[in-house]
Amino acid sequence: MDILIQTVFNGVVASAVYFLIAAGITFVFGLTKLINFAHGQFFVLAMFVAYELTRLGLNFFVAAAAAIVVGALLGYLSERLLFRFTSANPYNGLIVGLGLLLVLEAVALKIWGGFPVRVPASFSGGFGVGSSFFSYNRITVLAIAVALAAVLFRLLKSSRLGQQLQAAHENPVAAAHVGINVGRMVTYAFIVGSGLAGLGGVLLGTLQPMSAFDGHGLIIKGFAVALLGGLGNLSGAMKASVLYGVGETLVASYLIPDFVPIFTYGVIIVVLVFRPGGLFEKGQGSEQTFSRNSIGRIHRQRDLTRGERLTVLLVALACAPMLFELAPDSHAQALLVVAALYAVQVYALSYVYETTGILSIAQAGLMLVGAYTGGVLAMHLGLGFWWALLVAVPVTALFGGALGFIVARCTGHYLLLTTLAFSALLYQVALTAQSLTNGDNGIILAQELPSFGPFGFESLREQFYVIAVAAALAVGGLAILRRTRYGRQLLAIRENESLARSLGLRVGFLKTTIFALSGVVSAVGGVLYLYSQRVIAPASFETALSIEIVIMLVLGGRGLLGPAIGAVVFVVVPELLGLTPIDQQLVFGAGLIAVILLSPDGFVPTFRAGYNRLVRMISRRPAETYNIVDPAPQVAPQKEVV
Amino acid sequence: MSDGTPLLEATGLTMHYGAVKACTDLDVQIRGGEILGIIGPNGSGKSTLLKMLAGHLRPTAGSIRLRGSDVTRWKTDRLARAGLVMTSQNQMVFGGVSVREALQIGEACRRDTRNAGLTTAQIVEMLHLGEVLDDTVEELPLGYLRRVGIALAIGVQPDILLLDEPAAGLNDEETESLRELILRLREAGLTVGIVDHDMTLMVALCDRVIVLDVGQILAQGEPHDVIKDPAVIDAYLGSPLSFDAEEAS
Ligand SMILES: Nc1ncnc2c1ncn2[C@@H]1O[C@H](COP(=O)(O)OP(=O)(O)O)[C@@H](O)[C@H]1O
Ligand SMILES: [Mg+2]
Repeated sequence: MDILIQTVFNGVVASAVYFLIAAGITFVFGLTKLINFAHGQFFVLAMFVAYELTRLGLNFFVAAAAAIVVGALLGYLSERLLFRFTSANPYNGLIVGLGLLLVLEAVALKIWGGFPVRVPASFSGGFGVGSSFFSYNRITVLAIAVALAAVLFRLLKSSRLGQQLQAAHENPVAAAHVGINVGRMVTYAFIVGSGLAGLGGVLLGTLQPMSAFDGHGLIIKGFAVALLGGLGNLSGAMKASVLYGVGETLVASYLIPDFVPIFTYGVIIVVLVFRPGGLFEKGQGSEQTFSRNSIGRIHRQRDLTRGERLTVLLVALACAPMLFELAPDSHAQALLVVAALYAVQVYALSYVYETTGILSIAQAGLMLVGAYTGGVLAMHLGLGFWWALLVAVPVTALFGGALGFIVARCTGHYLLLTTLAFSALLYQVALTAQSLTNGDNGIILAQELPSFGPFGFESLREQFYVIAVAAALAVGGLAILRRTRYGRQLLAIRENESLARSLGLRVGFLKTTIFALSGVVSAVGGVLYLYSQRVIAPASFETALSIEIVIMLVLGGRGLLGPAIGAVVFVVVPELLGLTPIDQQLVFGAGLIAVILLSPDGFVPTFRAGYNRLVRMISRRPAETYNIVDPAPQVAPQKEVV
Repeated sequence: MSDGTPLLEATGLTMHYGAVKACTDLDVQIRGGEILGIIGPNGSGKSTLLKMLAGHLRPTAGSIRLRGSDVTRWKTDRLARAGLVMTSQNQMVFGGVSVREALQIGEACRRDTRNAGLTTAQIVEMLHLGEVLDDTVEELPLGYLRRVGIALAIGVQPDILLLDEPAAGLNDEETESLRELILRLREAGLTVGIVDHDMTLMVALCDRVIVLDVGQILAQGEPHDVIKDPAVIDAYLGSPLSFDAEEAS
């Protein structure tokens, strides 16, 4: 009984912190429909600042106030410098947030390293009742959060600014009509939400050690709570944080602490499947799946002529072998093998993204299922490559279908985080199910390597070519898919989901099947990964890899060649520059932000647009070319919509 | 077409948005092969009625039967597969693609077992979409957008087509082709429910009209009779419009 009291108490205190993070997420989401992936990292940075200040001998409360300021400042800057430019397309905002997360995490790693630190408690000591212990620090944390929540609700209700915020939240258009500056309200929401995160960071820092790596986990937890309460619903977030905090603490103390992440991801997925609008509200988030369909520009480029298309194909076919044969040493060759392995996964993601416009951060999870199916068959049953392929494909397709099913239920802007949770869940299961997967130690392949006719799979060269053929098959499949009836039905979903519905399409079913198909490609790639690398561990398939696969796709851009180029650039460039992993992360985070803000279509489409412009310039008649007086627009105006 | 039981039958259909009574206790029947017009002033509940029939809105009360079976709780996509399709007043079409691609997408949504009906080429011709086939849909003027929307709906070859103000934004010539198109589709067996303010079109097209006012049925019957109904003229038409209509027929 005493243990129960202690657990519930600790859980309630934890929930106070979760409320702070979820409130920030919900606050920003309510106005912008954006979930800021970097929000959890604000938490972490504010905590580090407070930690440094207390080390300088400053009072806890001064440090906490400074953390709030740091959080608010980060929120303010990120809104003014980044998210302001993505407001028209929250999907871009999500990707920018992802980039910001990577950048801030790298910065924190550079300054403070990866070691956990602990902020000294506000008050030491405590008192015991029976065998339960109530520390003054925990009581202070709870008191601060409760007081803050009370003030927040009060201000929202009765202050002028609060009312304006609420009005902007409920109906931005109407609010703008009555003279509320909605843009400014968004800035305030970022400031307040991130300030709350700053405070949450300090408070959590007194409860448990925290490190630079904690941003990912915190945003997912905060999201789970915000989702449970109904996104945009502040009082819902409060109730949900108590439920979640206590639930999590119960899981940790009565089951196994390792299960906590599974609990978190499970909550997200179960809520989305059964109550997409949160626990306390009926009804759904929003009608339309949030897919990145504002891609008219790329789509409407001049089609390549047959000759041009053939040239591109031949160049691509020649480039891959050339790249490999020109590689100076076996290290470079090994890198290219990895790039090819990643390319297969990026193509697998493309199957979903190209057709439906849904970006999913779960590809590493599907790859894990494919690779581990092969690994488990090899380790436990002694079965080889072809068995691995035979079993991994349907199994992964099943998992992909499950993901698609969840995504189809998930009508709203939080789809990306859901897929991230799915990926994290699979990682956690691979880590926890030790008897099956050998846990952290991974699986070392003792199997004979396959052979493909005269080709083996022994040398790097053979591996590269086999994987490249797999990637080429994936591209071919994608090219064919686009022209089929099925592919066009998927396109209908991308372009206009509600219209697709009213024309009779089974939208959910279609999404499920395309994710399953993506799983098939991932499975093949996963098995090839297993048999070329010969060692797999959960760490090879962390959520970070899922994010990286998205980066490769966004860098390379849509289209048939984009993914391959994205993968090669991603793997080779950092190596050429001799970057450390932290610097790589910094560069790619910044690169991701830059690509989205400057050329949201990625390398290949941008290159194509430039090429088209060049062709037009060359083929224009001289009179026009030399017409300096009247600078005729070279690009058709894009936003002339009625 | 087989008469007797109506193809689509709504009883007691009601939609209240809080205090706003958009539709109250409507009994509407659409018989196979007929063209039913729904007219009424703005805000009288015409769009709401169509949306409930097509499964876009769940009615607060009442029931809908399609070919005799209860479809009140069916979702839009299921109704569409059963042959009932609606074009919305302001639903965007597939935006970021060319008209050609949009129509291909529409074709891909067709139930493959259907036979009779116009080919995409015929629809394109009748709706005068030929000259914009390679233009991006979302950059087209409103009149074209409307027609692409209609082309998509016809393209899936429904049995019942509900049109919400299809002629809004069309010029006289385009309206005339729309009328021809609808009549031709009806010959091929299509049943049509149409909402529009263009009385010339409605009188020329409809076998029967229903007049809605503040969510209730004010009058119904043959178009010529209805537009002479003093209550209808009083509530909605006014004399000049009915004069136009007489002239056209
Ligand atoms: N989503 C909604 N919420 C509240 N009221 C609505 C909504 N949609 C329509 N209404 C109201 O219902 C009434 C009927 O609307 P509608 O069916 O669009 O009329 P019509 O198509 O005949 O112009 C109007 O008074 C309108 O303001
Ligand atoms: Mg209307």
